[in-house]
Amino acid sequence: MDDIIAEFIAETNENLEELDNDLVTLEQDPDNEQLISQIFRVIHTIKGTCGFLGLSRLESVAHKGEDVLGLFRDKKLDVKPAYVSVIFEAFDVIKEIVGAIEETGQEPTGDDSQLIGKLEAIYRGEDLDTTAAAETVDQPQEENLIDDLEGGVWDDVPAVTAEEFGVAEQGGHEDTDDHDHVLDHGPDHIQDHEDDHKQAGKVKQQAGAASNLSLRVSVDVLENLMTMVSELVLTRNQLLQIARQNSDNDYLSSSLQRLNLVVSELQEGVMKTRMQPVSNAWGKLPRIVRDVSQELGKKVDLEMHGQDTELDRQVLDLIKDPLTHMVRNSVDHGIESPEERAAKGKPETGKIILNAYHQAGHINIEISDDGKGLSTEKIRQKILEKNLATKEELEEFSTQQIQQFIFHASFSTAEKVTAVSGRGVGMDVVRNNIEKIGGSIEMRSEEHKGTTFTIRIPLTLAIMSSLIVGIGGQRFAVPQLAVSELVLVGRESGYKIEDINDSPVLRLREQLLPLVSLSGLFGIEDPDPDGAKYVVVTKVGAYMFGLVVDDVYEFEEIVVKPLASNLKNISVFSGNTILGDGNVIMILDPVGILKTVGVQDVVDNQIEEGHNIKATTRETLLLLFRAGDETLKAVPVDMVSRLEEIKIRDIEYSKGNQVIQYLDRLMPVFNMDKNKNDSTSRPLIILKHEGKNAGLMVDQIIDVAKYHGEFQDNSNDNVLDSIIINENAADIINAALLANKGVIISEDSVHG
Amino acid sequence: MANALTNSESMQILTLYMGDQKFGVPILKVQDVLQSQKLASVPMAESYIEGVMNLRGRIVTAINLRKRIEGKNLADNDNAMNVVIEAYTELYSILVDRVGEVLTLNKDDVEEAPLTLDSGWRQVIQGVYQRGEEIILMLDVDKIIYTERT
Repeated sequence: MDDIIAEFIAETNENLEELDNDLVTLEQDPDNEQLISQIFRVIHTIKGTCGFLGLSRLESVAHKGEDVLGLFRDKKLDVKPAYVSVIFEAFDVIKEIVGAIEETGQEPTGDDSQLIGKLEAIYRGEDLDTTAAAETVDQPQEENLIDDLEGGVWDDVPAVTAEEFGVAEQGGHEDTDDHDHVLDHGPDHIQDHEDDHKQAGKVKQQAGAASNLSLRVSVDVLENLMTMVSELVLTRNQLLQIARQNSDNDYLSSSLQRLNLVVSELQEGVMKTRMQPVSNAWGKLPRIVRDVSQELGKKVDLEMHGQDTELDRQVLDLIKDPLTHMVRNSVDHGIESPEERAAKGKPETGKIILNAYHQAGHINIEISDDGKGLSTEKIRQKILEKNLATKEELEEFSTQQIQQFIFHASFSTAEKVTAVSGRGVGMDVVRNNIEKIGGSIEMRSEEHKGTTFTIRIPLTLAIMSSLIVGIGGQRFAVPQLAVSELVLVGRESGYKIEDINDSPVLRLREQLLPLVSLSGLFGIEDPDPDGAKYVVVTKVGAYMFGLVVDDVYEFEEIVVKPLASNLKNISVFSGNTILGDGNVIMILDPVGILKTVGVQDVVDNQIEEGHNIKATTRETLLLLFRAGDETLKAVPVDMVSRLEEIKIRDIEYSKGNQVIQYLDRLMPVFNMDKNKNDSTSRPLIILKHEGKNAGLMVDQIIDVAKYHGEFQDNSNDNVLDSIIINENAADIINAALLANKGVIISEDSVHG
Repeated sequence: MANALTNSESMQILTLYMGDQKFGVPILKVQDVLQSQKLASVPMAESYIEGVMNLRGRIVTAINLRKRIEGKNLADNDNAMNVVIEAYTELYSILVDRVGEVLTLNKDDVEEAPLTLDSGWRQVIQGVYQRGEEIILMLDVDKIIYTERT
């Protein structure tokens, strides 16, 4: 492709991206003169340049668009959404043509007469609806005329355009307040009208002057540079390793130190060249929000914070689509219609807030809306409908757990499929894409209040900090992002690996952590099966599990190299790398490992740790206590919000029921205490179930113990079932039944 | 001979041995010939993938030719020769017992592989070249690398 055309396309693409946002702003703020002249200038530049390049189709559309914008600017026409929509349409056509030129080097053929008809109708001040159809009939002629005239199009409406032309230039210069500039280029105005070629040249010249301080470098060059630097980093690591072994050579070590420093700085510098502000990925969002909300008849404001936060362009490219999808989702599913919002007492205009910020070597991107939030009830129905869980399992899930189901494949809660979303290929794809680049996604949602998604992604993909672990003498890398802690097990460490139904687990702070033995999975012989091992506690989304390894070496910055194509199907590895000592090692992919060992479903559901374990191993953690009589009683720890101490005399009566004041609310208390002394403190178990809380006053808290096995957990009796635990009989109290009589006390205030 | 070299229909091949059987690969695909290298094994990979190694900062995937064709080990698996080839910007090493010589042959002389050949062999053989008493099997490098999904 011609260099000039290539440059024109790059420049136009940049301008168009900006234009989309400018137009959305203009629609909201029709009197913003500065904005109008800005938009006008951009389209004027496009028109001028493509006239020069002989791109006649592009020119005719740009020209007509410019005419209408000219009227806006001269206040001869009010900025109305209908008009802006047509302008948007014109920009879309321009984009399409530019895209085609980029691909083929040729201007594509096509008929824009309808669009041009609409633009002309607006220009003539006619009503859109009545003229659009009529215009299409005689439009082809007009286009031919334009084609014939090629460069000198504005001759067909000479008076207005010529006048506007001058104004346009002046408007531009006024804006920059650069009077000298006006003088310098003053004479050009006259020539402009005579000679299009010069006009285009001048526009280019101006653009060049402004971007003097930056260079346009091809991405390939940068990629190449990055690869070379990565190699350099590896070579440096090798040299450092050698130097460590021969530490007696002072010259070597001091030069190496310098090299080390320079390489680190070089690496940083090259990384910087790849950084782009996150606004590059957000650029299209205002337009999308506008289009979607208009289509759905909703009112939505999009607020963006932290646009300047920088990300590696490769990462940026990969999150662009998930982000777009999520924002679209927010408008479609999240924000309610203005009527619905008004009925709920919310402002009619919904709000979507995008926020990007750095946190501990990662970028967090938050997408929050003040819409209707996730309806637990609807999700529950959907889960049953799709047979993703049984009714009994559902009862056990917390609201949070139920909400996590939206990440399940083929899950969409929109009641009807709209053009925008609701086809069921939604959040699971988003999550997969984000996890593919080593990121994670979390969600908080409150019904009627809104939803917040937090995406956490690494700054760059090329270089990654990893933990090097050993399995039977062979080394592997675990991405540091996935590692949450390391536990030494066996020998005298106090931790040991236990088996439940042949699956290894580790008891860690009263949680059962499922383990994956990598030597078992990989078929690597374990030289010392009874020796000390390490458990790498790994987090995938909200799911925690442990990788059992033999050795833990160090954290090392590694350069990720893609797997050869005949190794790509092994999902437990995400790539490979060359270590400082020259050895090649494989990089473990925690998500892939989980899928391989068959906990795919668990991962899909993103169920919280505690329940996961219960569901897979049928283990329940019970709080044991005595109350009333000598029988041991128990409630699942999951249903206990916290333990308090109260005195009997604190109990009050409300409508004949025993209540206590708890966090400024009246909470019912079930007194199972036989002791009537009202001045001593007694334990109170605060139960929680489905957001409701109630107090259970008991004699004595005994222990927390694990119960292996099933018990009846769905009944209306006060005692659910009797079990044997620690060789004692115990009654399981129906905590759900009690809690249901309770009041809602939000978790926040409990913890606060 | 000089004529054959300039002839557009001629090609140069590197011969290599698996046991007594002679194979040929186009010389233009060959990047390096190396002595036995230190390999890092790749768990859960196809059995014929012996491992990965570092060749001047690039990662090379090693494929055991005999395991690929017959599912058996080479004569001396630990001292196999590496014939490094480049395919689709990735490097692969074909592990063989021995490397022979470079031959120039006429493309037209390469015949189709006999249909009676065992299917394991036929998968990776592009054609057969007869050179006097000798038979050289021309390896299809791409097929060696990618397993056909069944």
